[in-house]
Parts: sequence; structure tokens; C-alpha cells
Amino acid sequence: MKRARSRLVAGALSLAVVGSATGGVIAAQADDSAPRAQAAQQGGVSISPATVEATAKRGSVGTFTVKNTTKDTLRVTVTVRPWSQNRSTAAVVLNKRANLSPYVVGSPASFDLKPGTRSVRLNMKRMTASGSLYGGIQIFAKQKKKKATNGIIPQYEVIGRLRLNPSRKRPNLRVGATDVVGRGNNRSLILAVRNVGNTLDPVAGTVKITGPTARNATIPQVSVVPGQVVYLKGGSLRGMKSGNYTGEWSVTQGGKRYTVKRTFRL
Amino acid sequence: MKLRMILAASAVCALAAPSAAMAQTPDPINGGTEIGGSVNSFLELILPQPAKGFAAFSKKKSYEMSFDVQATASDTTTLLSIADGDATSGSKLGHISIGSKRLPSPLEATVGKSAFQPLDGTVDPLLNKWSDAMARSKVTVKLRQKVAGKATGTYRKIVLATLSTETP
Repeated sequence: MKRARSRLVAGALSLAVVGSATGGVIAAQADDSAPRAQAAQQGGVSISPATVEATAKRGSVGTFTVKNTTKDTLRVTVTVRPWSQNRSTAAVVLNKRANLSPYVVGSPASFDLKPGTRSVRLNMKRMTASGSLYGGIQIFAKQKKKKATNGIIPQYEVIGRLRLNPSRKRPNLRVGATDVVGRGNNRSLILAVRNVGNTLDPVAGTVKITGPTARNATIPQVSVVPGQVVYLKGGSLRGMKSGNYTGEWSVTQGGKRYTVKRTFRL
Repeated sequence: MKLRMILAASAVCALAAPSAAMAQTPDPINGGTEIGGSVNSFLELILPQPAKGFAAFSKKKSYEMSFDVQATASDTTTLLSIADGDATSGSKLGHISIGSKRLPSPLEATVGKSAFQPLDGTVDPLLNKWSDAMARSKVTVKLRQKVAGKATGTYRKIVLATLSTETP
């Protein structure tokens, strides 16, 4: 009984010691004013939904909400810009040298946002010739009253997606040349395709390679922005003998199939 | 004979009935009601506002500072990049400056142990890539400024942190 009681006392003592030690650490952190001050000033900008998708038509095509979680008033600017797509990786970045303001504008396009939320409506002013529009919604936010006028001054930029699908889909691809990229064992086959249609439907397919060594490959699915060129990946050429080859590409998009033959040399 | 047939038929029914009943029994998890819902896609970028840093360069050395960025995304593949917020082209692009005066070396940025990337390039340095949805995922952005000699004055640079998607 005595032993049990002493154990309890020891446990309580150790808890007290841990508690006081923790308190000490917290106090030490509290005394370290610089990092704590920074943490207190943290906040940011959010958008929801990050993807606005609708059928393209004149008038309102959707709304999204911008939220300011900082303690300050932010000056927010909303701009719709076209995508620029990387041919090799198919990754998109916003083309900041152009904007789609003749077609789509945010309402309001620029406003002061106190801590809280504000809804922004997207209006399509004019229809595009293709009947669809795909771009990024750039939400740029900066502090209205700068805390610092010197040193590093961070500003926010959040980029959402705008997908205005056509009322009538017209998938269309222009198939270009094939090429061998990479060196040694990293060689792979590619095929350039340009999306000249009006949809974002994924492009996929197969390639059948015939020549000194035969090989079949599946083309990984990729979304090509209308007007942009992307290299479809026909697989690795590792271990294939030198010589003249023929690649028979079968590419599909939105139920439409394109079959082309391209020759290449290894 | 008839009795035998009736007994056999009832035995078959007795065996078949529970399996049919089992097939119709609703899933114990959803109780026969379809459970589902949709959540709006979401993007959030949280930045601190560092009060001081890289304003004065009193001696020749490589200055470094860091700040934490937190990102939330409901979609896959999200990118964090950093860019010069003052200039989009010209000699001031990526260089900390004061009026017409600028530091000769560009401001550089990185996340983690990867190499520093200068901010004076034509492509904004990509600092981090999340390949899955995440909530308040924290990364520490490190900034570096190399100074060849004492630089007088109070310098400034607006740095634009961008959170974006990779798919159109």
C-alpha cells in the first residue's frame, strides 16, 4: 500500500515537473518576440470554388468567393488570362502578358477586401469564335496599407481555373511530326499534336512501332488546351536496335480517332 | 413419393431463401441510403508579413532569410512559385533596388535543399509541387541575396508568391 502511494506521489511529482518544464518552454517562446510576432501576422487568401465550370454563354457564367484571413484590408484584383501549356509536360501556366477581358470579366474586377469574404461573379461579355473558353482566374491581393515599406514585401497570387465548355463539342486535332527525344537509354518517341477543336477532352491512344524491333505502347492521357501543342508520349525506345522504324499512331479525342503513320530513325 | 418431393422442394427453398434475403439486405454502413456529397474545390495561400529583412546590407556577405508558406488545395497537383512583384522585365527584374539603384546580384529563392534559383529569369522559379490534395501544408521559402560590397540605403523588393494548378 505504501509502495503504491509512493508511486502515485512520484507520478504526480513527475507530471508537475513536466508541466512546469513545458510552461518554461512556452514562456521562453513567448519571450522570443520576433517569431511570435510573425506568426500572429499570418493570414492569407483563399478562393472557392477554385474551378468555375459552365457552358459558355453570354451573361453570368459563375461565381466564386474570395476570402481574406489576414487582419488587414487587402486590395484584390481579379483577371481572367489564357493558359500557356508546356509541350513536353503538358503543365499549364498563366500567360501574364495576355488577358481575356474582352470575353470574360470579374464583377467586381477590383475591390478592397476587409477580413472576411466577398463573392465575385464572372460575366461573359462576348462569345469566342470557337464557342468555348479555357483560362486561369488570377486573384492578386496586396496589403492596402503596407506594414513595411522596405525589405521584402510579400504579395499573394492564387490562380483558379475557368472552364467554359462549348454547347456543341467539336473535337479536332492536327497531328504533327514525330521525333525521338533524349539520349541513350532515356530515348523516347513523341508525336506533336495541336488541339484545333473547342474542347478540353483528354487525348489518348496507342502507338505500334514496327522495324528492326517491334513494340506497342499506350499513350498516357493528356488534356490539351484548345490552340496549344503538346507532345504525346509514345513510350521508351530503350533496347531497340538501330534502323528505320514506322510508328502507327492511333490517337483519340472525344470519340474521334486519328490514325497516322510516321517514320523515324534510331 | 409426393411427400418426398414436397420435402425436397421445401429443403431447396429453405436453402435458397436466406441467400436471396442476404442479397437484398442493405449494406450495414449506409443502411441502404446512398451517402455522398460534393465539396467545392478550394485553394488557399497563407503568407507571413516579415517586418524586416533585406533592407540594409552593411557588409560584403551572402544574406539569407526565410518565411513559411502554408498552402491548401483540394485538387491534385498544385504549384508554388515566386516572382518579382515590382518588375516584369528590364534590368530591375529580380534585383533588390532603391530608386534607380539596384544590387548587382539577383535575389534568389529556394525551398528545402534544392539549389537557389534567381528571380531575374524569364520563367518564375518553381519552388514546390504538391501532387495530392493537402491542408495547410507548410514549406519554408529561403531567400538569399549575395552582396559584393557595402550597399548604403534602404532597399526593398516586392515578392509575389503564387499558388496555382498544373492542369487546365
